[in-house]
Amino acid sequence: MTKAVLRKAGPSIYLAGLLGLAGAPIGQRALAAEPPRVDFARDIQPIFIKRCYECHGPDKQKSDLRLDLKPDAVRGGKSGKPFWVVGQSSESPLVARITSNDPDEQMPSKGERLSAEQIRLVKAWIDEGAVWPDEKRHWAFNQPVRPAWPVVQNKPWPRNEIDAFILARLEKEKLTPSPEADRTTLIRRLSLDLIGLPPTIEEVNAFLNDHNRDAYEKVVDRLLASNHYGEHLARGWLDLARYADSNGYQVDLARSMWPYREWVINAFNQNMPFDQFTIEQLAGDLLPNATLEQKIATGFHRNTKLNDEGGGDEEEYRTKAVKDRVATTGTTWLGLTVMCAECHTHKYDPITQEDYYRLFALFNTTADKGNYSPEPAVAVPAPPLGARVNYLHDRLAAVRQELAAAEKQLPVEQAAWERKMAGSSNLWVTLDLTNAISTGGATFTNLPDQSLLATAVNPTYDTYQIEAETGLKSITAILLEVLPDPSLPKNGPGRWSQTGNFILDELGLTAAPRSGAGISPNSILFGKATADWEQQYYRAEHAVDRNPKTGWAIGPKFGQRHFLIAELKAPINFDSGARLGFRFDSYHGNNHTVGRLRLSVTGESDPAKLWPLPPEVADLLAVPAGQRSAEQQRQLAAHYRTVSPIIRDLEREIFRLNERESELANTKFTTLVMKEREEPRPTFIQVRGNFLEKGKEVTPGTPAFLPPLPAAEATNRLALARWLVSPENPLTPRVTVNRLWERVFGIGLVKTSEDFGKQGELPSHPELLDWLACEFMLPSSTQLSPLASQPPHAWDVKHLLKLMVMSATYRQSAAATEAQLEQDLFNRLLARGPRFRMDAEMIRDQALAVSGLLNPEIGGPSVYPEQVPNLWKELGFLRPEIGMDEWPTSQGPELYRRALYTFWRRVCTYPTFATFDAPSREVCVSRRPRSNTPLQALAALNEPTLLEAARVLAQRIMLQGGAEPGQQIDYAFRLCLARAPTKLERLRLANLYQQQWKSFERDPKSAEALVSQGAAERPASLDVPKLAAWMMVANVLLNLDEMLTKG
Amino acid sequence: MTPTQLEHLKHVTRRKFFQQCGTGMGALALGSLLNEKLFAAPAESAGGSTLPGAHFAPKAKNIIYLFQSGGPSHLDLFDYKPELIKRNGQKMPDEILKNIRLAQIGKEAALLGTSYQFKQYGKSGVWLSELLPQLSTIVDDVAFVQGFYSEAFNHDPATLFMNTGAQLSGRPSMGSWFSYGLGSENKDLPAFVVMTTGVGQPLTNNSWGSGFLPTVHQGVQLRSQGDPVLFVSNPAGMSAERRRQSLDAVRDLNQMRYDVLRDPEIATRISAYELAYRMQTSVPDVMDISKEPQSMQEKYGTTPGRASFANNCLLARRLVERGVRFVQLYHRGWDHHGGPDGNLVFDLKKRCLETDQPTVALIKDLKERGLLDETLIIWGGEFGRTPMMQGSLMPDNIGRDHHPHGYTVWLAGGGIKPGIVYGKTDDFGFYATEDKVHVHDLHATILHLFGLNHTKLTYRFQGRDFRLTDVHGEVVKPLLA
Repeated sequence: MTKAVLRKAGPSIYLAGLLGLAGAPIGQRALAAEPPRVDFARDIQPIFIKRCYECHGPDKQKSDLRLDLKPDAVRGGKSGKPFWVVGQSSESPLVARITSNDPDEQMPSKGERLSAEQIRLVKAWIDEGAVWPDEKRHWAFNQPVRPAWPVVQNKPWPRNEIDAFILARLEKEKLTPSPEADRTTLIRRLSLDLIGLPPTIEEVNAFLNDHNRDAYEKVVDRLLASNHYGEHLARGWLDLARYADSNGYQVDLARSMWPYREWVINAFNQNMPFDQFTIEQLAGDLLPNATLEQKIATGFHRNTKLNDEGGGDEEEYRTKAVKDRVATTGTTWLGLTVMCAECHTHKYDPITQEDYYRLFALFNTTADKGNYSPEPAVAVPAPPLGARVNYLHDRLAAVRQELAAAEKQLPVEQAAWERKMAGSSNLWVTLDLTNAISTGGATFTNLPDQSLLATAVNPTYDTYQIEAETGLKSITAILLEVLPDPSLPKNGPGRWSQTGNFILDELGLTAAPRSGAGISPNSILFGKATADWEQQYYRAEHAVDRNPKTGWAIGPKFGQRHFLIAELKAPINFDSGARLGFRFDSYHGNNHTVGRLRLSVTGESDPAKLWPLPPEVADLLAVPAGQRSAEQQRQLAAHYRTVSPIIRDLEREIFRLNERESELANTKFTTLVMKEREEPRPTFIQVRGNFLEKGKEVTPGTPAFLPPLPAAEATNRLALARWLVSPENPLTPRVTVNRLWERVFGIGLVKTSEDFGKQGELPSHPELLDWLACEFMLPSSTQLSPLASQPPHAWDVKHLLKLMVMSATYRQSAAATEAQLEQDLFNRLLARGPRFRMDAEMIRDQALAVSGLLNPEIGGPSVYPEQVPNLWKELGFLRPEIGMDEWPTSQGPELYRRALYTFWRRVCTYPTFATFDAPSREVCVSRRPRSNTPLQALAALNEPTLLEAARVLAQRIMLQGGAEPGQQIDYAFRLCLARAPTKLERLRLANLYQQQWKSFERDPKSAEALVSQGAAERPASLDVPKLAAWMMVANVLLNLDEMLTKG
Repeated sequence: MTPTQLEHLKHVTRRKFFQQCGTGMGALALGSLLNEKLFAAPAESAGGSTLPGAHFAPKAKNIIYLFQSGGPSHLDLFDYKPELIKRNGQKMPDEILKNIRLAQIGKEAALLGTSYQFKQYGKSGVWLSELLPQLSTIVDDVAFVQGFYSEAFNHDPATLFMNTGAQLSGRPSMGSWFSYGLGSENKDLPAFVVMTTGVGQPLTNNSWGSGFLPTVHQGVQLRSQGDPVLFVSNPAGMSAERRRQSLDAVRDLNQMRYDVLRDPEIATRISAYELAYRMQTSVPDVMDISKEPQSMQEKYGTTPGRASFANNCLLARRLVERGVRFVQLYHRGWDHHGGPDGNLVFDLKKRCLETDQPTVALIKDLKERGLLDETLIIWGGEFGRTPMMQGSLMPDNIGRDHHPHGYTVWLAGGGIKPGIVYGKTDDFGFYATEDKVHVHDLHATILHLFGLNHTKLTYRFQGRDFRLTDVHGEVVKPLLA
């Protein structure tokens, strides 16, 4: 069937024709009783909701007509006549209005007319008796009651309660379950589902060789006890919690929230009961004698965005954060689209606008602000940073070795330099500086050494314009010296009161011929810039890159002279000499301006000679080498050390590694928390959701259609949290078990796991859902746990997951038959095992695991694995914590942490994660889409870390996989997919290997280039063409559908 | 039927196809039969129109949105206000500022008349600033919407509002709606691409995100440095031939697995990898503007290899020529509050120099190629700027604050009535007063030009049918040709 047919026939015919379905797809409609004729809820109410409620609904009742409540609607509007006459559509005002051509009469008064079909339905409904059934309470709002086991025919199949419910439905639909999957499939499925990592070959072998009846359960228990379990479960929860490492909105500065992430991981690992898990996150700070951990837990609702853009209205952004808390609480625990009632009463679910603002009031009493400030925050103990510290030590040792080696070369280099410098004294001509202006209002003093000192007013931002003249006919470079001065804060050379630092964001230069008055100056472009010292991330080149967001600074070496040499792209050549205009831009703020400076120019064309020569060194150079005293030789060598770029770079790196080490030792770690404000804040209904338009004042509370908060307690967040997990609340247990089901089976029993309201989908297995909800609150299952050391407790997440993965339903093979696809394309009935693409993070973790690169450390601050360079710069972001725009790539083992620890920047999500459907974490997300796109293919094929993993996997294959290609392929295949390859698969990969090996043998250069991917170590012993060929094989394995899929 | 369901039904078609052909089908057959429109998932269609998924006959096929990020000053470019010039230095009347919130300046800020010369041009007699000499030559092709207005006055919400119709993040962007509604005309390129230039206020990628629409509809950023599309290049040492050989192996192994499991997702994956391979050629090809003749480079003012708005304009033409549905160029640096990196003297002039020539070259070029009729051009920012001054009168400190209540955007081609001025602001250029056009109205109008009814292009999410225009928006009929 072609697409043309699809378009003409219309989708529903296509669907029915192709699938042979008689109007009973799985889901909502299949579960509703088939209605006789026109059905009010299905056919008429949607028309009312869409086209009438705006003026005749809960919020407005024009002409006193209200169509959302049956008694009001039947009574009619202010005319006093009923709006329809049962059985007589032609006599009914409703029909007259919707069919009228009189613009004053016709309804709806706004927008398009009702369609002919809609009019036909309304008429038919009235003629058929205008049946408007009394509304039944929506299923999800009723208390779940534990249903009895259904009766099934195939008695031996069920392993536990879940299977009974699943099988009963299958039998009703005349489907049979699939056979159990083989053991390698099962252990891979279990591992990926419970810890998010693939099984090792040893783990697979142990399972294959364990012939005890409880072998499977032992694997389950081992995985549930693994600390990687908490990481895997936390990852899903963090989507709901909208956890990120940055504030959001456009500026998107960094924040410290990782202790909250760690809390979630630990809570899952400790199998904290879900009711406690809920209470601590929503109101841990309000618990009596709240512990630090309980306060950290409240980070859940501090994951709201903060606006750092200048000129924002504080109250506006604070209000947005509170609204986000209401929406997130609604989605996460209630599975309701509460946020729909922000501007008007919910159109589908029984949540009024007042209900919304009563919930809002519960969150409207905290001390946090909407912009600029992350407070309140608490200090937390330093995390274990062992691996990071070890890496620094190793790196320091390596750099010191490099330095020693470089020092050995120094005498030779110095000799060459001396020859080059022979005969030259200082090449720089210092300028007399005139007409200095500060746009910020500073004044300047010319000092005898030709330097210029800024005094008096110390503006936040400043631009200096300074002029000078020179008789030099050609200028190739300029020298900027920044000098200490006792009048400057901390002795300068900058004007920032805390340290004496400055940031030179941009250095500008214009030039005109000295003689040609009236000739307008040209703007001069700089090429390379070097400096004797650069603060980390504030490099010399930043002062001349024409990017005002980047600049040169000199921390932490304050209070001393530094200099910067800026070479010109092309020399300034004027026979009469030049008039020069310098411009110093300091946009950073906080008085980061230069305090004292001196400028020189040169016409020297050899860049290697530009390093300034102090007069005493120039004198030494003039002494022939053989005649210098030992002291003179020492002095000269000491100077040359500062000239040598290699030594300079290495010494700077040593300095920074030392600095980083003491930074790690001294950092104060904090995390954002919730805290009540001292003064309570009243809450008003916001008219149309506009925080500036206040309606009536409301008291805090829960939606009227759900049970009330207990009267005895204070009405605050703590009461709300306890209410959410109280036995009276029908939603929290259903919503939570459904989400766990979704993780394991791919689609929830309620597919719309974020919406259990009337617009959500009905459950595919309502009784199973209720059984699981009851089991979650009060475990009773006796089918299980001969091995479990503890009996299940109330709200036991591990118990629920174990029930699911122990079921026969879960253990089925995922292979589909024709009949199953015809009848149940999406596998909602589960006549086969679950199979779906893994989440973005799992794809990365798996590649790292199978290659052996994975650093399994748990917890700690976020890390910066390899990312496409300049991504932040392109979008114009500042690097959050220090005002720069570079991703500070981690080093060593931090490159290979699980994806969960990657620094999560909201406005620029880590590219491979975004490609594989990870959300930006700006708002609560209950379920990710699962797309299958060419951009994902490109990422899986070519993303640097995945390529590096392919290379390291290739090394592993060569070192540990056996002696001949057949064995090695089996080894690689089992590493990646747990199972052994089929004959055909082995043959295909062997062909690829042979083809690539031969090709790389002929092209060793390409082989070398390919295997140079990534920073991880490469044993020199490995044959490069072979390694390259294996890397091609590994890259193929990492891209197989089976690899990207849990199944 | 949702796009996901549609996608799955397509898999069933593929499955039937696999059955008929047996296994061992070559790359050729897969390529030609299964790969169509992975980038597209057309909405339900009424049929009878030229665009798949359109509700009625469209006027335009492609769109180039020249987004001027930061908020260009309508008062110094398009909206000539003699009264404002006359009252230079005075205070704004209180009644105008009564209910107004301002981002950075106070309400006592002095009025600032433009210091640029304005003249009238074309049959509409539109007043244009001396800063736009090129634009003045094509005003008869352009519709200036001078009574345009928005709601947000901070960059982030305002930019999102212009692009997604909502101030909060999480909604699909306009380009994503187009991709979702109409798909791509080119099976080797995405339907919606984005390019950025300039420095200034940061951009956030949710301006071109797909929100709750399937990710396949998100804007794909084409980059001027590094990989034009992330990860489109193979690593050093892996030639295209080797990549093809490895992809052959991926395909064969996937197919073997398909034979066992019959999961339609495997068939889609095979297609996705084949399209990825074709993109490895088609993307670098379209991005290589050095293939354009010298005369064309001069018209646009391009320099191959250097990132510039001019380069992106030329690329935009190459992309729409190849059937890319929605091209969006962001040029940053219009946020002229005053101060050395954003003032109305040096910086505004620079922005105009960077954009005026290539913008006009693009329109002329499209016209010469007969593409202007089917390509809609939009030019505008997330807001305009206040009639009141920010900063000081020093040339590098003079500026204006953010201003959403009345400003100018302009449109051309693609079924827009050419050579008109539509709507106006008050004497201060503060409020839009006549023939006002709201952001939602603009969105409704753009969709209309593409044969889409903005109230019918919906996507169900969290139990609600969402639209680009939320529950608002009217098609602005007088703007239609």
